Amino acid sequence: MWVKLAFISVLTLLCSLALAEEKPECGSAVDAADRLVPDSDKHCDYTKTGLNGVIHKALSGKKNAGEEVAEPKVQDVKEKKIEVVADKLTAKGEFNSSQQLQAVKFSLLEVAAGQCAKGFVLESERYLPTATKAMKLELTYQCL
Amino acid sequence: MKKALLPLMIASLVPATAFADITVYGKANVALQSTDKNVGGSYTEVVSNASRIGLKGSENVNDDLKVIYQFEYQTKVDDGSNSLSSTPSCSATSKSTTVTPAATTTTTTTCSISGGSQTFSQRNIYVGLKGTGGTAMIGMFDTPFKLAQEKVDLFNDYVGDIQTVLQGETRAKNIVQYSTPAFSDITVNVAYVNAEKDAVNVDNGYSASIVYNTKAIYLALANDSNVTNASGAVVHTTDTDILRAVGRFNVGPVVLGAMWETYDNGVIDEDGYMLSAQWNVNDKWALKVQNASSDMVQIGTDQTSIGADYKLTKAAKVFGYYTMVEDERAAVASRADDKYLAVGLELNF
Repeated sequence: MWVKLAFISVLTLLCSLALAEEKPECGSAVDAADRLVPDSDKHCDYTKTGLNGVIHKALSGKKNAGEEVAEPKVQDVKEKKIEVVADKLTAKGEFNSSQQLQAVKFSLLEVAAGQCAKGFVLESERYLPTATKAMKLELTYQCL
Repeated sequence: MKKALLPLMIASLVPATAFADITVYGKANVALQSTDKNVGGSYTEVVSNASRIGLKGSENVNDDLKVIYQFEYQTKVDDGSNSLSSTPSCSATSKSTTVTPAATTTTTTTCSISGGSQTFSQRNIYVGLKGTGGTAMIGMFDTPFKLAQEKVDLFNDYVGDIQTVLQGETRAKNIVQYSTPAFSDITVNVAYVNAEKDAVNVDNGYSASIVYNTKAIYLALANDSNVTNASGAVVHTTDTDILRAVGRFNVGPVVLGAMWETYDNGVIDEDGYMLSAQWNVNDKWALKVQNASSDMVQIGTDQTSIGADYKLTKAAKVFGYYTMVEDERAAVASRADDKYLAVGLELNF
């Protein structure tokens, strides 16, 4: 009985020494798992530290690569054609002389200007061979 | 399928896109320990103290509800074998007889220790639902009673663990638990342990705790009713009932812990206590001392430990401890008068 009274007295005394409440610090993920209570570490992000950070970084890279592969392939056409891939636009045209190159490039830029009221930025400029021994110009641009 | 591959098998079933919500965690805790036992002699051993690896995560059902899960396995970093039987099994494997110069028969006996082939053994594993109304879990995991100790056992998982002295340190099988959301830092946890058998003196068990938890103060009151019988750990002639009160107080760099427990299994009706103190000397060093005493596991058991931790990094520390355990059981020759001295390394992630 005296042991119980002493225990309760010590408990009461120590309660009076309470400090201001603070949000629990984020310890290691294994300590959080030991508590079995999901709420105890809901403010902790383990995706950027230690082994978890390495795994999340590796798998995030694989996920982004998968998304690029999943994008629809551009159809190969001879005429000028505008295709939308995500938020980027591609315009294409064929030429077989330097004069035609100038004309095709100018017309493709006109197409881009017509699509983008606030202007555009060229992402890439590709020159590709065709089956008819002409060349194809592909301009990829993004509206501002 | 080899159980050694089980965690990898489980991980491979989770789609890569789901890994965004998964946390991989673990602990490697290994020590070189000098053991001096009254029964068992003196020897040095490498011990793996509850080293483990696990996955936990969640899947959102909607804004208010998500599925939660945890898969955790223990691994023995020292010798790679769990569930090693301590009792050798012996059988005669050969017999030979000679007739000259004198008739003799020689029998060769081979002894082997069974088990020890599992690289991983199950720890806490559950699946559940978490929402605004609380958390429900089902599986095999530590009872609310066991978890009520929080961090007051400063030598948890070491030879100085309070399980040597106090009852109720149960990882229950077939357990279903509900936890309330935290209201003013107070959480209530109730669990039902399904016995899954129809036998004499084996009934379902219940475990519950009410917890007040802040950084400065932790208070808990917990009760186990017939949990050890239901989980099959030990079957007593009547229901077991344990009540536990726990307190943890942060006073500057000092953390004080206290636990009081009363245990009644119809034969043994005893109280026990544990007191602990940790002094965080600075960002690197921590000194610890702990004493526990009760008659509920063995008559007159007294356990005292002192220890020190040196933090190498946020995730790793070097530790050392000295633990003494003694009791006053009736068989004098079998009484514990054991001493353990160890130094080790721990990595948490």
